[in-house]
Amino acid sequence: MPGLSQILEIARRALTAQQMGMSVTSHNISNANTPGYSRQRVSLVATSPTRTTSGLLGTGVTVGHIGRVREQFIDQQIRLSNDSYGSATAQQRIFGQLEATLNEPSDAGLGAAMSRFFNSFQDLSVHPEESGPRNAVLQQGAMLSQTFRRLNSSLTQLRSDVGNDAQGMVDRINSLAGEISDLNVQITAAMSSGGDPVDLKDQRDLKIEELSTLANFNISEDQRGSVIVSLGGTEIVSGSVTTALSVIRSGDKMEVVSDASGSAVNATGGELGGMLKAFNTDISSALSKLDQLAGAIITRVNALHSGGYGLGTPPPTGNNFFSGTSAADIGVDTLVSGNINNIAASGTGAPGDNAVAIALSQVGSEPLLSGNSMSVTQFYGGFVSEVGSSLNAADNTARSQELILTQCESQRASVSGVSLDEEMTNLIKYQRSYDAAARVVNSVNELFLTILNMV
Amino acid sequence: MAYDLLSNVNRSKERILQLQAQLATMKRVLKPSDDPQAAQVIMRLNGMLERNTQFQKNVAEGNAAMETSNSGLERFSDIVQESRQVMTSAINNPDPAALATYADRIDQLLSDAVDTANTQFNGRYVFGGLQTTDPPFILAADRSAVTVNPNGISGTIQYPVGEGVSSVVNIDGQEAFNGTQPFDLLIQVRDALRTGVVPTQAQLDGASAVLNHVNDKASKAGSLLQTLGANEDQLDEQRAQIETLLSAQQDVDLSDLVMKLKREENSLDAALNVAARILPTSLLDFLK
Repeated sequence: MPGLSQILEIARRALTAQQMGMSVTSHNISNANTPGYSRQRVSLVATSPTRTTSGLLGTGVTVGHIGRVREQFIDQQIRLSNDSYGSATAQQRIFGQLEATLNEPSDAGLGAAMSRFFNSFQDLSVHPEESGPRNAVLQQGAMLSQTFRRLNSSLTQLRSDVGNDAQGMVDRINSLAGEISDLNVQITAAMSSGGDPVDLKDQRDLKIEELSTLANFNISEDQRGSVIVSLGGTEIVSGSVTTALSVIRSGDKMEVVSDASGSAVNATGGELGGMLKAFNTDISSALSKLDQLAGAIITRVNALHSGGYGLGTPPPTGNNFFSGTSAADIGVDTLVSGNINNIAASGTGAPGDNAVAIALSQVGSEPLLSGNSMSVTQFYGGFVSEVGSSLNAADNTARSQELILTQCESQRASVSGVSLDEEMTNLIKYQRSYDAAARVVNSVNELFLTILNMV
Repeated sequence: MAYDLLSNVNRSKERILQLQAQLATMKRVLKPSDDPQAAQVIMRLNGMLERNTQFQKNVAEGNAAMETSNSGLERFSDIVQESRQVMTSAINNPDPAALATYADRIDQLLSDAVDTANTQFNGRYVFGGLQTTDPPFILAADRSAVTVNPNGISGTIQYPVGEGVSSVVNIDGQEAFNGTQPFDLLIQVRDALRTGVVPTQAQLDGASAVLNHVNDKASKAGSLLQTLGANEDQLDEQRAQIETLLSAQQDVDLSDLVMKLKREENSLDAALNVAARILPTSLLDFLK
């Protein structure tokens, strides 16, 4: 038979345990809106029974463990989606700017400038001996050159902006890596003293999740509770040690390298991966396409133009129309811009001859590019449509990854999120248990009094 | 829950924004990424449309130049006709005093003929061949001879009037008048009349031959004008076709768009309504 004091002891344990339950509930309620916080749960366990003549008798309750409710699988899913989502949004942003720079289909784009330039030669072919159409040709030629140069400098600027953004991104990665290694130290210390530092783990998971939007990081956890973060095979954080990354740009190439080894890190995913790809591949290819286009126009127009004759006695011949060789330096030749009569419309020198003007007006539809299979207008149309497709694909990827992310996040919210309704219910549950345990104390107290009065 | 509601509302708003942009511009494809394939086609069709406009301008210019050539040739034909009548009158009335008057009349007609052969359109000599900036026929100051522009008076001018199609828009002086032949004839007749000699039958036949030649060229000018007219019709037809294709690629179906917009608005309303009902409720409302 247990003594009254044992019953009192059981009640005391109950009071302590319910109080602990209420304090965890209160902690949950306080952190209902804390980002990255996962719901904590008190696991109550019955204490070991004592043996009596009638059998085993319970000795009450104790707090077993305060843990967080979290599903590793969802976390991994979210990190994976973050990786693709980050890279898609970076591509989306960059291609969006590229598309806006091209400004097609519109009257202000390169397509319209080319078309107006070649059409101006038709006007010249109708009035080869007049100055009006010559001025128009000059003006459209200058406009076309200017459009090429503007696109070239906008794209170069865009590329350098992307480089700066990547720099910022790597700075952020380095600072997150530092924070994660600090948390690693605190967590291993807490764990070696037997605790489960759930709040610290929540904070660390939040940092890791931010990292996962930036690049394709690999995360693993060792037995001591510290995480190892690696990027493309290079360890960035391992326990308390971090390896800083930096961005190295040389001309039209950009790399992320590890400061420790000096070798390049293979970042393919996340926003950083998207930016590296845009810098090294997409924008560079757009720039080279513009150069090809400008180069083809310059070469062909000059070849036809220098074989023709302008106005004058004797009619001037052998002059180039364009100067420069690429989209960066294309311009109207100073000989032509200085004297519009140097514009060649005639194939024979006769002022009414328009053979060269007609030939020049048809340069836009001559197959000059891609191994003489595409005209400049087709080539440019293909280029614009390619940019559109890339943006479209990035949009679609971003949208579908966003959907997956939303699903995962709502799934996580239903597992790890704090539901105020549930916490209120728990609170009432613990409160009632506490009340009941207090009532037991009261009853035992009365029993004691009864016995004392008997004396 | 709040997260889901928010992302639904945002998606709905995004779609409404896009539909409104389409509605405001009445265009389906505003950026290449809206429909990359269509964007490429639209750019190509826009280019064709611009070239079509240019070709129509060229045809109009060609038409005007050919009209001028045509009326010049008709006027020239009238002059030759009249010269022939003067020659016939001289044969029938070989009075020396009358012959001097006839000679003056022929001299006058010579000036008219040279002026007509130097007809200009928009500052260009239409019978000058490729040498459009200088008069093709020059009457010597002493009126003794007519010479041609030393740089030449021949050459065909063509205007582009369609994709790969060009049309002739001039008849050069050499072809139109057979060089200086008509003027040489008039000068011979005038000089003969001044010395009291009546025109010969050969000269009369020569005038008839010139008349036939010029009339022949006038009808050639007419047929060139017809060709230009046919080109113009073709360009109009092409334009209509291009515009139909362009509209199919880029224009919005208004009723469809309005329906979609209404549907999106309704679903946004619904999402907001549900949010307004669910979000404020909690267990706390029911506990004392």
